[in-house]
Amino acid sequence: MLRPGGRIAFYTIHASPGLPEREYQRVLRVRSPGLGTFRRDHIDLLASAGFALVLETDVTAEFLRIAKGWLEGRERYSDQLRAVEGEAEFAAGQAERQRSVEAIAEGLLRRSLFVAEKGR
Amino acid sequence: MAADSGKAKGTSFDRFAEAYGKGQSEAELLMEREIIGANVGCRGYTTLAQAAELGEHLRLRPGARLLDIGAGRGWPGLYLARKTGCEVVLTDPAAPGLRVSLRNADEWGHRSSAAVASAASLPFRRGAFDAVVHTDVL
Repeated sequence: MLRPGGRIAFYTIHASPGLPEREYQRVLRVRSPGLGTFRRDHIDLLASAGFALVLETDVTAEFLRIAKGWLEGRERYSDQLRAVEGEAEFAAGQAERQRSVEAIAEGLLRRSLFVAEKGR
Repeated sequence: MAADSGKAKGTSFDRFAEAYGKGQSEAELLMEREIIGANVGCRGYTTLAQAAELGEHLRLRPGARLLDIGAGRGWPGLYLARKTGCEVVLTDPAAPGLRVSLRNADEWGHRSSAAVASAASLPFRRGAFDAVVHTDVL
């Protein structure tokens, strides 16, 4: 779909490298896109599709700030959100967000920006 | 909608689809402004500053064609189109969010289109786009 010389840029959430199996399974239980992948998977996938990597940046610190922001923000507005979502959905969502924040803070999950260019 | 080339199924997908098709409550709008930096239909982790960075790396300009994969309500594709003047095509396996995004695009006077499609099977010809963006899709 991309013309030669065109660029792809994406943020992605991935597991930290070298996790013990037990920790990797924990990562898989946190609902979030891309969880089973590693940084290396994205680099290999880009190369196999004919892309040259232009840039790779770890943005995990900002990821943690935003994840905490949603968790704490939803708690702050919990009365309004419970009224809209219902108690069960609100509680499930918060539990999921709590697991994500813990996984990021403990170094199990990372988020990176990748930029790559399609070969000419 | 330009095409429908496959729909994912399952609890998580249904949940996302339903959430993206709903309007945002006042509390959600307040949180989004505080956390993301603007009201752009974002429920995830890509801030306004990070979206701007994507636009710079993609070297977008008026007339360029951008494909946003897994666009949800149109974030960040619509923002990038608005900021750079490029033309954006939004894709997502869930139609409800795309309907919201097209309504927003109309209100903002954007040239944009959308296709209900899975990232695994996108209905576009080779070389159709100058740039591709996605955020936390893969």
